[in-house]
Amino acid sequence: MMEFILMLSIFIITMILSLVIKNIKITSSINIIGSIINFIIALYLISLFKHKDSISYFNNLVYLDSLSVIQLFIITAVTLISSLYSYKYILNELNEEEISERRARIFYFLFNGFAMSMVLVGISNNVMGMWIGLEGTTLATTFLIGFNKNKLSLEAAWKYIVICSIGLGIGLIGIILFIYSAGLGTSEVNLNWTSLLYSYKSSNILYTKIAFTLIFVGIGTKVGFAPMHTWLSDGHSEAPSPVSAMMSGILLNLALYVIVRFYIILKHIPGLENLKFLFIVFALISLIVSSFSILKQTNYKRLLAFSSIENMGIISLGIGFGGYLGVFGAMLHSIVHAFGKTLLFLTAGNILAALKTKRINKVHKLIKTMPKNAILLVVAMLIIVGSPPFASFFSEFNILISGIQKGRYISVGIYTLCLILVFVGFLNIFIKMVFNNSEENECEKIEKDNENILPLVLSLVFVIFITVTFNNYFYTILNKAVSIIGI
Amino acid sequence: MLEILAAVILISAIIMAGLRRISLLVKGFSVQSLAIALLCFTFGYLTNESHYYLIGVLTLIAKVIMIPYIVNRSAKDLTINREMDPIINGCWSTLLIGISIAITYVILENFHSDFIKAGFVLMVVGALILVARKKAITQMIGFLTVENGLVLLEISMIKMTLIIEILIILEVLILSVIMAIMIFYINKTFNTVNTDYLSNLKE
Repeated sequence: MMEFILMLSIFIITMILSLVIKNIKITSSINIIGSIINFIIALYLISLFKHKDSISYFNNLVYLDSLSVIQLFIITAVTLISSLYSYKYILNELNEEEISERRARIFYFLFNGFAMSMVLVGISNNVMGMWIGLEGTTLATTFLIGFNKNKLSLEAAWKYIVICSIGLGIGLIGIILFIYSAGLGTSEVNLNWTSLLYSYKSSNILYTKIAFTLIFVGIGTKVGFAPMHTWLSDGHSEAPSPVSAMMSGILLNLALYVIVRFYIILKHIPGLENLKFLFIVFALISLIVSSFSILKQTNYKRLLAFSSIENMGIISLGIGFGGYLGVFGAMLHSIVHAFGKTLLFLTAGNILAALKTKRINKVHKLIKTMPKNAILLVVAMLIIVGSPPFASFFSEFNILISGIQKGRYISVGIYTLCLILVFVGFLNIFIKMVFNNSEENECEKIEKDNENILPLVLSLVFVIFITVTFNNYFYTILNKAVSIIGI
Repeated sequence: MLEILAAVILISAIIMAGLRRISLLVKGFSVQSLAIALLCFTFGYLTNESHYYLIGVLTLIAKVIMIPYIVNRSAKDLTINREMDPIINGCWSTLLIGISIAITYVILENFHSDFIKAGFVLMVVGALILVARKKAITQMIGFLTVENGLVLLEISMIKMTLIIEILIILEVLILSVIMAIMIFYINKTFNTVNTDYLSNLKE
């Protein structure tokens, strides 16, 4: 109980301090210390789950099961990596006079507000609380996307706020209709997820179907499913690198997590067995759109944004296929993707900070100019496309097997094709960036190469940790999460 | 009383769809919000619950006083007063809204509350203003109309705990402030609030 108060108070204190303290180095250090403490709290909470299945506090307002504790782990870990990265990132921006001191303080304020609202989504038991948390992330990240205040970033931020708030508005109608169709009349409804899970009965199947579709489409906007993905590629490519990493690694997962919560409630209701198809259809559209967009990208941060859409497609395809392997693969992939994408975005941020360009054809011979970053970039690419040594291979493979087991051959075909396309597209672009020689042969080593390596290595360590332990130590908690989602 | 308020909400929605002058749009929006606030008070009076009064007061403060003030201020600062060339012009918008109101009422036949239907209509109108207008500030009013529709649905369909309702309304308020600030920056950077110019990011 104390740990949640501590966690939230750390966020609030850091938010206040970041506005008060004038020295930006102190603020950055406080931010790092706060995220380390939060990460330790999350580890402690995970350790509680060895013997328990769920914990609830504050009169059932806060509810944790292994599904949400995994989210909490991802949130705190990626926030830790991002705040480590932000320390040098912000100092660098200040030195180059890209931003003023005041803006740097606002960055930390919004950064913590963003992280706090994500934690609120993760620990909330109230379905409306989850919605409010998601809307809170929109509020916090709008200015973070428009942080550079140039034409491109303002455009991205405006698109983001309009599309996402309309999407979440549709999601809210969905939730309202969802409660309404339970036929409870005007009596005050207990909106707790746990009580909905045991007592939800649909009085009108049609309304419930419409409600879930609205929730899926509305909150799916935030996940970045394909027809609603237009904000994502702009937002992720224009935001500052640590923020892109957090958005891509955590926020998309978290929005999907909220949808999955509703899916868990509705899955057992007779007449609603076909909800899985919603996941499969949107996943396939996302996969197709993103994989073909990846092939013709000219901007490497945008490329990574499209890769996020693709990975969200893979995760929801796993849930849609169902079966033990599918759901297990989806859970595993969401974790690996969080860290792998963080690594990739932060490396891209380093390259951007050194070379000052986002265009792929202006980046040459990284292996000579920035060897450390180049190696990390290649490793991160291998993680994201799912090559064998890393856990992402096993997750994607599990999803493939579950699709074949369930006999969904067409979906499996499209899935495999898209994976190959993404693999080809990534290899093509990254080989160009890392090994290709430019016309003029000046390959001096850039000094910035060594600057911000620690957070990258840390996220690589996380990926390796997951890869090594998902079959033994991490297995129990993943297994519990799979049994919550249900086969 | 309730029927009159529902009528006011619907009529304001239809009129807003055809308007081009921003000050009039804001007036339409505040009349609509006032009707919703009065509706909350009436509900509170009829059901004798303090719950509704509070939502009413919040709507009154946020949507009748503060948001119109913010929008008017920023419209004055940016020296824009009307939508020059909307994507769908006023006449057609009004016609479209008329048709979509008819469709909404047919689809939602089974819901016996007028306010649920009115809520959906408001959302349609808001979405129309959002997509058919080019100025960022008009789009913002469209978004706020959608939010008004959400509030209507909320109070007429289900009952939630007070804290959640307050948080939702508070978030809408913050969102509109953020949008206003964004519009200010967009104007400063692009020298226009016409969203046609926001088209540098492409595939």
